[in-house]
Amino acid sequence: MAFWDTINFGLAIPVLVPLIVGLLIALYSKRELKSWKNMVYFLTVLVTVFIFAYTLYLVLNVGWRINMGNWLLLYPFSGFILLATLLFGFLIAVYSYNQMRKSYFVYLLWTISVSCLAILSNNLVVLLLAWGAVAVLLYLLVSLGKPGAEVSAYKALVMVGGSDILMLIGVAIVYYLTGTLTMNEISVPLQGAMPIIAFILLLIGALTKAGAMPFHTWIVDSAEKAPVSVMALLPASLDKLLGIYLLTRISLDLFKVLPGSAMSIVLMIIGSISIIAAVSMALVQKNVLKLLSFHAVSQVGYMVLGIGTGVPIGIIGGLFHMINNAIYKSALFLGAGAVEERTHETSLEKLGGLAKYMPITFLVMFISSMAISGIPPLNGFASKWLVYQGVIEVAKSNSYAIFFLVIAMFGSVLTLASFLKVLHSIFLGEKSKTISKVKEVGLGMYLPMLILAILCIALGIFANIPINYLFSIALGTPVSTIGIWNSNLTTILLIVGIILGSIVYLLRKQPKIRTSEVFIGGEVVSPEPQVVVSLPDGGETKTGVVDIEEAKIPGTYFYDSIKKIKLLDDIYRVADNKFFDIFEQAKKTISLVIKTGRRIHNGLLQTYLGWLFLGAIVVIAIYLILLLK
Amino acid sequence: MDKLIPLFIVIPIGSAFIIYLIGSILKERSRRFADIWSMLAVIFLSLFSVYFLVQARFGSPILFFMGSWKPPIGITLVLDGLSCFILIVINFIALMAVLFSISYMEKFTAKYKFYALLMLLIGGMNGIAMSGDLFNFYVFLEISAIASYVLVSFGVEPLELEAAFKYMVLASIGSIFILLSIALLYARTGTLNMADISQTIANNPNYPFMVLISILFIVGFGLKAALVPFHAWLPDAHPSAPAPISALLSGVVIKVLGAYGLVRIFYNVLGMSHNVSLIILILSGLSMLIGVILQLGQTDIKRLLAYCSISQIGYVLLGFGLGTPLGILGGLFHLLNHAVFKSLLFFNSGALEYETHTRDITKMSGISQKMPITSFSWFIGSFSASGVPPFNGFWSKLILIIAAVQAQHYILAGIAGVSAILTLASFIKVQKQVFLGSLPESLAKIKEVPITMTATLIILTILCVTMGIMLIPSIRHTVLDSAQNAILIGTDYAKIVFEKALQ
Repeated sequence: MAFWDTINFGLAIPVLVPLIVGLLIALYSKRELKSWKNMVYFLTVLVTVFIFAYTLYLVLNVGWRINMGNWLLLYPFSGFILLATLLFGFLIAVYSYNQMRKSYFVYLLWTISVSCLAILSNNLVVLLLAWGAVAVLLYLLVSLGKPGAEVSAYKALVMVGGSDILMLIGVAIVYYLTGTLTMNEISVPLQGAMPIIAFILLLIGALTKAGAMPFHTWIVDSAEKAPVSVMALLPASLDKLLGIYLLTRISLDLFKVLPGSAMSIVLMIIGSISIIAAVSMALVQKNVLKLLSFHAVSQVGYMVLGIGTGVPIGIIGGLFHMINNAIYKSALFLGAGAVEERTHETSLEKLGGLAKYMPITFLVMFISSMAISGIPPLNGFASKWLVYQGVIEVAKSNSYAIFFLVIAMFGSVLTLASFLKVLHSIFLGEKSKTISKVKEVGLGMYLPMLILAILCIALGIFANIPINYLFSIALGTPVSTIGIWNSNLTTILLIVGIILGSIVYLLRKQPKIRTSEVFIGGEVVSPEPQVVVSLPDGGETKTGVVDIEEAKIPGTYFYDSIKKIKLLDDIYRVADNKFFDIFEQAKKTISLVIKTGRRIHNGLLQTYLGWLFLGAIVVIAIYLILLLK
Repeated sequence: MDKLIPLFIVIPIGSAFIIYLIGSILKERSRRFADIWSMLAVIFLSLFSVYFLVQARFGSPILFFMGSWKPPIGITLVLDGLSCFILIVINFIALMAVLFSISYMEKFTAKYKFYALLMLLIGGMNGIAMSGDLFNFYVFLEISAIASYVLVSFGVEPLELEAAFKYMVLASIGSIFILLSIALLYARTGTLNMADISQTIANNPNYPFMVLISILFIVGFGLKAALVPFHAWLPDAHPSAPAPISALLSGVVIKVLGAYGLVRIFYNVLGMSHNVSLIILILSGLSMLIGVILQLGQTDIKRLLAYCSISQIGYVLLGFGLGTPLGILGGLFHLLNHAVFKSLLFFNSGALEYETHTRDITKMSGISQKMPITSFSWFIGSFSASGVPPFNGFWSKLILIIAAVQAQHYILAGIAGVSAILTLASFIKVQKQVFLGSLPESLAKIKEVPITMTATLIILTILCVTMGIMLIPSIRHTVLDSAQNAILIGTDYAKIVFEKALQ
């Protein structure tokens, strides 16, 4: 009995239940049985509902501070992240009705289980364990996708798993410095070489999981091939929650990143580069999933920027943005998934005019697009606003921070631009001829999307509740903002505006219809090709042809004209060649080393004997040098 | 029971003779006999070694005097914590190898010769682990080395013979280095008993040839352990052997002949000096990094695993080179873990070769559809090798990296981390290429391997997943601590052995 008395075993429930149920499903039958599919689906949904409800019950009844020995700890911040994780787990489980494979559900449950473990863990080694397990499950889930997914899965695992191993060294250094692995006992001042190295190693782990630049390439590569619900679950929501959770833990608890310190600046630079570079890449993408994945990178920039400021309001902004991003980003991925489900198409050029046929999906995509672009009164605006406030706070003492503010705001504008392209290309205009009958997706698929869209609006309008209540207890700091921003007032103003506008619209006379040339973005549309692309062999090909008769204008090439600027063109070309991808760069370097290695391993006995004696001589030399010292 | 410890040597070597004798009479009809006899022998040896681990508390070692001649005169067998630990590794992996061979070796002729040689290899290694004097140590080293030369060339294809020849020449040079330094020690101390040598040296530490002796030992054992730059024979030799032998060579032989020899001689006989440990650390760092980089470029699946062994033996010797209690614990634990996951991976490659008749990973694809057990066990084994939690390789690498940081060898900790990342990259590449993707037409007829082979894979896979529990204090106390203490006592080894001998 002592075991049960001394620890709050209940904390292990969210970890154990999905783990065990997953195991049972895995063991139950060897085949991918269709008849069991419904059962497995409902069981998965049931488990996610149960652990969500259970955790809520635990938090409300037992309190926001529960620990299980020195191993697991639930405190307000981790509790909040945990609830968010479980909510996303539930929504994705509901959405997954069309998944045919049993292993998908097993991995889904296990992913939820180990994510809970990672969040609850109060021991660095347990954290590492769970962290690695999430990476492995990500690999397994991504490789369930379309043919060719295993290549992206490989890259994802090498990058994420590799960063885990760097984290391991970081943990080793932390243990060496403090002599403990219990997270809430660790507090290391960020001074001297060792703490900074440890911090950077742990930071790499957090940023790779969250997908900030330059560790982002696995997200982009996985986007096209992985199952869409997997993208919505891991890179879009859970990995963000985990990565930013860890980032917050290391920069606030384990180490203290002070405003204006070197590490704070590093974080802010990483954040702003992620924002601007990823969104610029997103602008010119031609595949909706790939475009969304670049936004998944870009939005991390805001979180890193916010947390990197080191001032309470910025941190709260970063954290709130994390939640918001998880909501609208998974809504966007799920929406794109719904479109793909019905049309079997993700290329923007081949889609169009779907708003009529899939109104709910359109509505969801519209709301979440506006939210991600930071349009008030949606949630994305509320959190970006706080991040800006944080940067301004820093800028009061360090004027260079204004630069980050400008980048962040500019990034927001580009986000809006790229989502106009998405909305136009998929939902507006004429339907593409290649796509036949389309109808709205089923309840199981649109319900999660709708819930997420409603959350986007609710968290935007009632932004003060989460900000003041949850984050204040999480961080124990009061919030004050500068400038006038009152979400309730704004909402009222907005509604008044809409009503007034409608009245004006209804009252005015029907105007005469004026005809003019078709134009888009100020450029007259002609049957001529919009963009001429140079081929590597020196020739040219024409793309983006507008079919005036069909009145179909693909939005795919909306912003291609920015490539006409010489410098930007060069940057894009280099980026297309994966110059900025550390994975590809490392691969190139290593293959050079391997070539040299091959040359000296020529298989001749004489060579090998030569090495042996050379090696012996070197050993003797080292020994003698040491002896003489 | 203490009187029975020579059985560790007598049984395998005796079995070798019996199997060969019966085999040469019955020829091919002796297959089942050879299977059963070897199986019984290795089962007995495994249980016997586990018995000693659990029963003996190893406050003091168990000694056995050949012909009742006490040291320093007679031949002594010493079974201390470290020996017992090594014996378990040898005999357990040998058990797995025999289990795997039952089906795998069916396609070869003269199965009895194979088993006879295998028994000789095991007997030699058991002898090394228990030998209390340097000359017998050398004799057993040669027994196992010669058995392994023959086993490498067992397929008698041209490439295998070439590999075996290279292996023989290079390994013999290693042996000569070791023999030379044994001779020098004998000339100096006039005795071959390890404990006696240790005491003589301790009484008179200033000996001009000590530097030469140390270097000869480092080079000799470094070659047996395949440390860079003495590794060149391994990537040829290990892939050429039949899969169960590759598993044994990579999983056990390089550690017993190389790492164990190095540890025993330097910690317990000569006494570890700062210079020696620094050289070992440099060599192990080189091995970790260069081994894994070359591993990335391989397309032959067994060659890839062979390069991985070079890299992993670097981790093992990193722990021993650090010399701190935590480092030694990590080294021992990684030795055990590596034996498990590397033999698993070699068995896997054997299963693949058994079905597809190729070792070229570019010719395989989508195999998980047809061979789910092989595929799953490769998956777990390769994660263990790369140090992905919660598999066993993670725990030992964690300990090793913490130990390296504690000893302030930050560069080595970094190399260990980077090598682990590259190992992961290399193994996942194989996973992607071989097991995932679509199944080509040419491989449509393959099926899962026979039951004895899958049983081996499953047992080792379970171990890979569960061996993290070794770190639970009560289990660690039985398995790892006594071996760790045997190393940590250093040259007090001599005192303990003599105390025990005079009782």
